[in-house]
Amino acid sequence: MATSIFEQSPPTLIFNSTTIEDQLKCKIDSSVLTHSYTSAIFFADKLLNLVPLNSKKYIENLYILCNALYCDKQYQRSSFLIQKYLNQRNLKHQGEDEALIILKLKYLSAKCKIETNEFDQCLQILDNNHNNTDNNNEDGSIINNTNNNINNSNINDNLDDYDDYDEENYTGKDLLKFYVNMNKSNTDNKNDENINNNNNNSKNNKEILIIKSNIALIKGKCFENMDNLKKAKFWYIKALLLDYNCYEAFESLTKSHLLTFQEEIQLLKKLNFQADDIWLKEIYALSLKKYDNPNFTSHYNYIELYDNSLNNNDNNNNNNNSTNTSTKTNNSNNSLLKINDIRNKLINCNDILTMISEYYFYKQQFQESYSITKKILKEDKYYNNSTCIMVLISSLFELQLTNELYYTCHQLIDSFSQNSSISWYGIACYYQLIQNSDLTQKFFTKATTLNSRIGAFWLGFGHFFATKGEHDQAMAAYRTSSRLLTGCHLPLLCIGMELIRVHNLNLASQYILQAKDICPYDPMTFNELGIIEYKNSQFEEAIKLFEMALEISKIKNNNNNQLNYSFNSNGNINNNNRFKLNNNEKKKSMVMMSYMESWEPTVYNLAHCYRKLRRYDLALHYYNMSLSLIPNNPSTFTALGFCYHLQGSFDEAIDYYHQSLSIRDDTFTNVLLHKALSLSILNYD
Amino acid sequence: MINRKPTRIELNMEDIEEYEDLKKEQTEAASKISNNNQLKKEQFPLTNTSNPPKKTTAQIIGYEK
Amino acid sequence: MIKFELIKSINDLNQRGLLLGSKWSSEQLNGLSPKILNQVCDPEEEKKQFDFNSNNIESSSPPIGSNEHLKYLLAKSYFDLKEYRRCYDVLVNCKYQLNIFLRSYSLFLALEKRKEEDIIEQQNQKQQQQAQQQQAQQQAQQQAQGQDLTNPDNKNSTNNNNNKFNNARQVLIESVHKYPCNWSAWCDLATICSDSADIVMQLSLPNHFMKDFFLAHFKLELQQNNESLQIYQSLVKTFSNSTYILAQTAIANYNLRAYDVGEEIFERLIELEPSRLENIDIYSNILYVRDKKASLSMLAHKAMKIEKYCPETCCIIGNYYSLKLEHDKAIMYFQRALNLNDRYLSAWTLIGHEFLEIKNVSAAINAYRKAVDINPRVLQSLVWSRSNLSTIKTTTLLFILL
Repeated sequence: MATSIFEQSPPTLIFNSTTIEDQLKCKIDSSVLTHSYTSAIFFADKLLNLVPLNSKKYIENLYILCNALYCDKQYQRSSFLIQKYLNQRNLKHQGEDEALIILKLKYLSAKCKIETNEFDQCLQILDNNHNNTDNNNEDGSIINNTNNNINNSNINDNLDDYDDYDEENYTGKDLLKFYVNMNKSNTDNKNDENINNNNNNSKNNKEILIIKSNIALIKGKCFENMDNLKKAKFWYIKALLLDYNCYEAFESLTKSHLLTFQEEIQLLKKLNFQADDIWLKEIYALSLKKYDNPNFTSHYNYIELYDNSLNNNDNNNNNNNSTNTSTKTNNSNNSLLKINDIRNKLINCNDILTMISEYYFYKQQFQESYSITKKILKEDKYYNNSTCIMVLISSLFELQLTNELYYTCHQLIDSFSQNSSISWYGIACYYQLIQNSDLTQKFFTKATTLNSRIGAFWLGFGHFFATKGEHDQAMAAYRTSSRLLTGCHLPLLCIGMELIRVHNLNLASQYILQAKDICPYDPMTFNELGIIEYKNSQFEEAIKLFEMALEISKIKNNNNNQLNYSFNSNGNINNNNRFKLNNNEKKKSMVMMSYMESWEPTVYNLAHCYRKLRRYDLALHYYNMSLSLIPNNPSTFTALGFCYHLQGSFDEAIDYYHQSLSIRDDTFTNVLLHKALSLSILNYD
Repeated sequence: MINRKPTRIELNMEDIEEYEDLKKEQTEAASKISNNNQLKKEQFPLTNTSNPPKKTTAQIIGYEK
Repeated sequence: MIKFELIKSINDLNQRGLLLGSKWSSEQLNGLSPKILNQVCDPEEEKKQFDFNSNNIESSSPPIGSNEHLKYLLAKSYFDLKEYRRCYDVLVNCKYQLNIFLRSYSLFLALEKRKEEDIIEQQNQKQQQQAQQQQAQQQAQQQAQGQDLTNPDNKNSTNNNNNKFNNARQVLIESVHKYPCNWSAWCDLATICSDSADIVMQLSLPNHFMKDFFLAHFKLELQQNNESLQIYQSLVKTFSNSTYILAQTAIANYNLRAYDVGEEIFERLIELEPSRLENIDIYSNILYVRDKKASLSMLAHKAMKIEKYCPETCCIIGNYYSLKLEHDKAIMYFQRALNLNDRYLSAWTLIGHEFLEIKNVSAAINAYRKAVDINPRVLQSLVWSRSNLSTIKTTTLLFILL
């Protein structure tokens, strides 16, 4: 009976434990909602002791307590309690309902381990899950089946096989197929379908699916932090295939460029989006790589919408003219209107704007990408989307706005005291821009020390070493970044470029061809291949490659043209009709030159090739084009002079040599000038 | 991500070989043709430019052609 | 109608070469709130005003195509190219008041220019005095001639230099009554009256929105910041987009030491007018006081890009070096600002502070004296504008200066 501490309790009150349990649960819920975790823990602890150890309710209450502990950041305590319980309990006799909550407990414990950076223990916990369950389906419960099937030891074996797989021989397309086959080998999909059809357990099964997906996500994170990117990739993809709403897995894959573009597209196709979630699919499509295939138009919906909103701004015509660029012409379709509506509202969202700005960045419209990211950061000062900040810093670097870059980096350092490695990267870029190499090196080192897992930092570091001429350090940096950015062709390409610099042409071409495999739509790849051919004196081949590079760059800038070419089985380019430049079209393209300034080196190289083949008219044409792209360039003047010299027009040659020498004094030009002068006056050199 | 500038092939002293080769070829070709000097000069501007004939003083000052 | 008055004033002031006034008028015209801009004017009222003005102004400018008009065009082109004496010569024996005004004004400017150049070149005091006397004589002549009633503004400019403040004041007030939209005249009035606040209250000024502008400007100079802010708040209803008013409120807040508010307003100002350098040196003062190195550095670089050789830029850069504790360089830049504009008040005070930092007290006192000469009210702001002055130093300074 109640003691005298309590006031008059009504005589009919029996100290009813179930009522107190419910009360406690209420109190805990409200405490957690208002984030007063200390109170929540207090009540949960009492709740736990109200039920005997081996009852069904104990495990639920344990979960509530440990959840509150996790919210209060007492990770060690939470995982300790869970492990203690699980160890002393015989998991072989789990009932149907309990399996779910035991899974949740394990998941919670794993999450705690991640927070304390104990990745191997985390994996152990999740793997114990596999090892403890038998392959016994005696009660035929669906849950057990799925448990067994996910945690089939088969999978682990196959993954080990994959580790021995010869890296050099696989292409990107095969990789995803491999993963997908992995997932087919278990009966997950079928079971999921059964689950979906089974209305009784549908809510439960959805929960299971989400937890399984999250478990896969955690495994992926562990492997990523333990530097095993292959397995990390595997588990992230798994997580997405189980539940496409797991945005964290998707982000981890796309942000670190773990997948190549082909793999990304395939993954997106594999995810079965429901009709209501098409908007999510669009956003995922928008997040994929933007420097690859210009034919990939799924993300154009948002970009067209943004373009139009820019054009309509002056007329205050806000977005009511929905710009639907898809091929569906039936405007009375309800779902279409719904999607347009959603799009119109989401276009102002920071994430979407970030992706649009990234698109403009890779299209080399740096002013646009800068203005978008600047606006985003102004409105949301602490927006720590690393893509956004990266695009901002890179745009400022490309635009060479040193003043703004300096100020922006200061602001970033002030705002992000925790996630500040990217601010140091920005500062390193600033010093690179004003060409202070000591400080650049210092800050790159700092950035990579703070967070050595961001490939972009190493890539920038490599560029810096390359400009300084330190070949070995550059190669090391590039190699590190290629290890981290597994799906990105840039590190491989840069390694190739460095190898060209030291005249190791065979190895260079291997790397560059590998890069081309991953991303066939980068003009720079073709430029470098062309240079290799040039150095091997294969000028015809070089010309083809340089022209290809220029065509791709033109197409990319001008999205209205469709790039229709494919690779035949030899890996050679198979030009479509539209693209085979016969002589007439070549002359036409001579007339309309609209290459960007950044591809001037390619034009210049192309001119050299023609000169070597003694087709001086074309050589002159391209040299002049190069001059119009980057005027007052002494090397172009010298080259022009040389061309005229070879044709015998000594006066023009001398003219150009003088122009070149007035800008920069150069031995080669001097020698040639000397020869030309003697030729024109004395008839001998 | 910031990218590098594409590689640019720069002219250097080795390209003078190209020039010398062209001269040699033209000299050989010119010597095979027995046309007049004017035509030769137009077609092969770089012939005979490495070994000039010796000029006497009179020729140099224009006294004697 | 405010809109048409301002438009007319821009035209008239431009014709007479009063460029600062016309710039101010056009700024305020663009600063009018959109409601008022779109207001349809009552045609009769407009005609009345037009007639009133036209009687005075229109008759004073020569008819188009006449000889005098041709001379005017030639003279004005010389004036635009700053060849003042040439302009003066062209306009000999002109009847129309527009031409007479232009003539006298160009002579005045020519003499002023000569005077300043002489002062810079000649260190000898005696020669300086001689030069000044010369100018005074010529200007007295001018005074007799410059009887242009509709543009008496000219007279007061000469009167300033002769220290005949009362005369000047009267003439200016007359001018302002007749033609209110002449900001140059109001400015001069403020400068003359700066020593005696009370007199302003006794003056009979016309009831016009320009009077509000004038009062606000005047009170700001007298450091009566709160009242000035009040007037600006009421003006802002009509001139809601005026960057001038924005800048003035920022300055008022700076004077009141409400630095965060001032900084905000300046940030907004820079957003609206990114290439503006007028008053931005005060923004740099605020940044200095609040120790914001990065912002000050960015402002300094930007100012260099916009206009390297103007006193505001030099002051900003001086502040920047001072914050970086490179006082020698700071002094160099403040000196440069003073070379560009001898009467730039804040440059004198700032260079005084810098001298204090490097413990050159006599130079500092000299600088402060010069500042006080230009505007006696600077004492009040001196004590507060730098927080790093120790109290002993402050009191000794004040003692010496007073």
